[in-house]
Amino acid sequence: MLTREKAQELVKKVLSRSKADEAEVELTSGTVANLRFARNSPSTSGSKTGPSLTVRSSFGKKSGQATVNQLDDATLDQVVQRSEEMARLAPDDPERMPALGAQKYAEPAAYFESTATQGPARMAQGAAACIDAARAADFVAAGFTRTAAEMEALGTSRGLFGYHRSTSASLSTTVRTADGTGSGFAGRVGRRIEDVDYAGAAKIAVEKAAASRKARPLKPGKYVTILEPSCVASLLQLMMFGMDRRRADEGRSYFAAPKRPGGTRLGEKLFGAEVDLRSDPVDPRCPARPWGDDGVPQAARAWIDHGVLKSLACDRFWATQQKTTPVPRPTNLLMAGGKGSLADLIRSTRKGVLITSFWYIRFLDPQTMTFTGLTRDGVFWIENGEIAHPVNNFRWNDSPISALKKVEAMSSAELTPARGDEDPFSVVPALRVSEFNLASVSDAV
Amino acid sequence: MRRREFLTGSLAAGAVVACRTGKSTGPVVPAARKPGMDRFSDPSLVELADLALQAAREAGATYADVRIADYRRQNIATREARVLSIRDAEDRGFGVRVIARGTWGFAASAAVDRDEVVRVARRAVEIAVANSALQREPLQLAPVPAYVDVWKTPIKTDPFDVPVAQKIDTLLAINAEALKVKGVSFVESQMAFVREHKFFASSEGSYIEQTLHRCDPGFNVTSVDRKRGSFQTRESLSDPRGMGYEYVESYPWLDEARQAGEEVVAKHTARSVEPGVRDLILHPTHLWLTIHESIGHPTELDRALGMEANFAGTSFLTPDKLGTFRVGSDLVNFTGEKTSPGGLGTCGYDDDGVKTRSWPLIEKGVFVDYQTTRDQAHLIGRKASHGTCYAQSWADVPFQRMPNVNLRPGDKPLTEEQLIADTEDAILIRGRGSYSIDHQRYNFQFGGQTFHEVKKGKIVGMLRDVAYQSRTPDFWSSCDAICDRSAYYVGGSFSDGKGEPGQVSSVSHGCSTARFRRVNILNTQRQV
Repeated sequence: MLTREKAQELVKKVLSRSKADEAEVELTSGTVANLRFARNSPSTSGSKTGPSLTVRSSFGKKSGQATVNQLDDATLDQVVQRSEEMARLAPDDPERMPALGAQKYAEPAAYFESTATQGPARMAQGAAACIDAARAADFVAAGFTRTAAEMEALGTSRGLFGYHRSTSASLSTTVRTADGTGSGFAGRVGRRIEDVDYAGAAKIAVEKAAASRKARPLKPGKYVTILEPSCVASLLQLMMFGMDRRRADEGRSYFAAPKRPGGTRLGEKLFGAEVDLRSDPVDPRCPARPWGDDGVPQAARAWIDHGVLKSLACDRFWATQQKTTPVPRPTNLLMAGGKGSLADLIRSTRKGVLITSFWYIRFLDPQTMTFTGLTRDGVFWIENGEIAHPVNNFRWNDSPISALKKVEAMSSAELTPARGDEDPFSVVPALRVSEFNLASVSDAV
Repeated sequence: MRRREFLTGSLAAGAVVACRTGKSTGPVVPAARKPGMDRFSDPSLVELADLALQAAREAGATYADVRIADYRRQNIATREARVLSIRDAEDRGFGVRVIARGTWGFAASAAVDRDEVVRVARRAVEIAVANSALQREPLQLAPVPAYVDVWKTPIKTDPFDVPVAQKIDTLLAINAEALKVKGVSFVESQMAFVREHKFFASSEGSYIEQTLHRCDPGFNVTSVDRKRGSFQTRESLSDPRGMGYEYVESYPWLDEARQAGEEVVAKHTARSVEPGVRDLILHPTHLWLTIHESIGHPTELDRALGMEANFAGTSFLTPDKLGTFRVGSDLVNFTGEKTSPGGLGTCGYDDDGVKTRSWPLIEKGVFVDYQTTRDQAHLIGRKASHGTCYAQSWADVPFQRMPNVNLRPGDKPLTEEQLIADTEDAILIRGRGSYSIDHQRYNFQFGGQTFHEVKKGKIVGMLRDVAYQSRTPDFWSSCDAICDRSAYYVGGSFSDGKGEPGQVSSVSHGCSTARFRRVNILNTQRQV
């Protein structure tokens, strides 16, 4: 991985080759190792070390971009030249913004030496923990573990330089009964390898696989539903994707003010006061890159402040048009939680459905941010504060907006991966919502 | 950079690295020449590959292969009269895959030089040995002949030779044409091109050089009606292809841009569908995705065996159902292949070094075979792989990926017009919309781009807010008509995701318009 000094030297070297009016450089490098397992055996593994260098060159309002993965002098010459060729060929971009000058970035503590040095070995132990736990129960484990130590740097010909390094470790595992009638899932993620509880995840996946056998049929319908944190992380990430100022201003978003051209829902109270969503690159639960995609500094920000829509992401050009300040897309999501655990949430529920994990979520109606998706690897019926029995899987058709409007109770928030996340991103609670639309039955187990 | 420059550059860089580290580069051991090797773009490919294979063997590998590859990608995106981005990326490196102690090991590096291929080959063996401690099922590979060959996507125009300005003109003309329609608010359009050049060599004696081309042009039109408080979108019905720039040049962009503009505006006043059970006529621009999700994925052997249980999922088509399980009506025949011209999955050899072919997956409605790779064919008693192994880049592990999966056209003469004329009451769906399916591929739900009502043999009007939901065997069993080859069209996915870490592959699906009886229709509109 490139140190700050090496990265800065390289960025300067690239910028010194530029003949463009302005040049911007993005550089990443690091080592990512992974181990995949299935059928209680390792299946594939990989280790990738290598850089990626992107140069964006501009002549007046024309710009072009080129990317390479080699850092020798000949390739540096070539990537600069190619980006300049691209820029010369481009028509004027009326929305072209000047490159950023020097910025002050926060310094999140996202890099942990223990992850960088012990990650691969611990990762293998984590996979072994899942396989051993599954075998002990006569079940079958599949899963994926990954560790990464990476750096990102950016620089411009106007004097900007930023450097951020991070580590991460993750595990997800699905344990199935040998006869395929039960399946359980658990996922963990962290910046510090010591924080990733591989054995704990294995135990939960085995328990859920056992408990989900002999699922009873439950008809489609709208039910009181507890969404585990992994599901909540999925929903919030989907909602965040739509939280874009320009699309709202243009009228093609849920966040556009209904029937009011040009207006947005900013300032509207959309949810109950308990719904509070923020981002902060230095939050110790999930330290994250301190700048957004276009280099704009990340700061502590309220997106939903006690139910009120406070922020929509806004790029630099659109911010000038709207006479506001740019708002970068967040690099983490922090939802305020309640006080108890998931178990407490279950105990306080008279009747309802508990969902472990979501799968294959796609837009159904962008107007209302309605999505379709499925449940998998553990769906249970709750009665009188206890898990009564497993039930079949469902396809759901619902909206994160609707779900957040119907929050009845929540557990404390925790760092949780949405299914498929490999990097720490979401600190979220489990939610109990008064209604979630389980639209049709899925025969899948 | 052309291929020969890439290799020259990489070898030169290798020499520099070796000198700096004080290692002796030495003369390259000449490879045993085989007939056909003179067709390779650079003889150094063989030398580098042989070094890697030899190092792997010496470190204890019982099998090894190496892929030395470079990728060129270009992506141009526009909206209205504006170019959003012009991106050009090049990526090169190599990956070595080995079997040691019955276990896979893989390592990769961006530094394509003699010292590094040896280091990485040894590292791959170390990883295999380390992982073998957990191994319960030692690997077996289905046999494959040794090939020395060169294969290229037969293109007419290399997209990377076409000036960027020409591509931009095409995209901005699409946008302008759609914006001429009153009520169209926004248009986005883009083109993506990929050139994948890879050299594969295995310890079993194959040396295969391939150059694959793919392109993905398209657009999306939006109409905002603020008085109604609504917006509608209509994506182009174009599909990605395994072709050169000639595909972009042959597509009727302006006609479709105008039509898309008219249809997106019409959606505001189209009747919202009544939910219930209706017949469906599915156009190939739509049906390919239903095939992809409900037939393509469940016939992947690795899924059926549980290799994808943690992510993509398993399959309702378990091996015990081979040869007996009815997936659809007698009319329904599906073929897997990686050989059709223009197909996104089409190539000469897969990343196991298996020569590509065509084979039946579903015959007369009955499930008869899977998509297979060399390391899994034996698990269902097969002696050969169907050649469906693929890695998205030099840095990724090859694994089982979907080939082109096609629905065979009907045997009896039946045009789309005749099918519509023969239909009493149905919804005709065109284009790819919302799509989702469960992790065993039973329950699916699809939207589309346009929905037209068919009554008494005629298209009578437009509908909106339509999605249909079904269960795979129920759906394909309800298929009672498939048009003949006159209605055949090839759709496809440019970025089909699978695996952990995620990899994308591109795959085509050919089919003719088909009819399905009594399918569950939903209305997707709601209040929040």
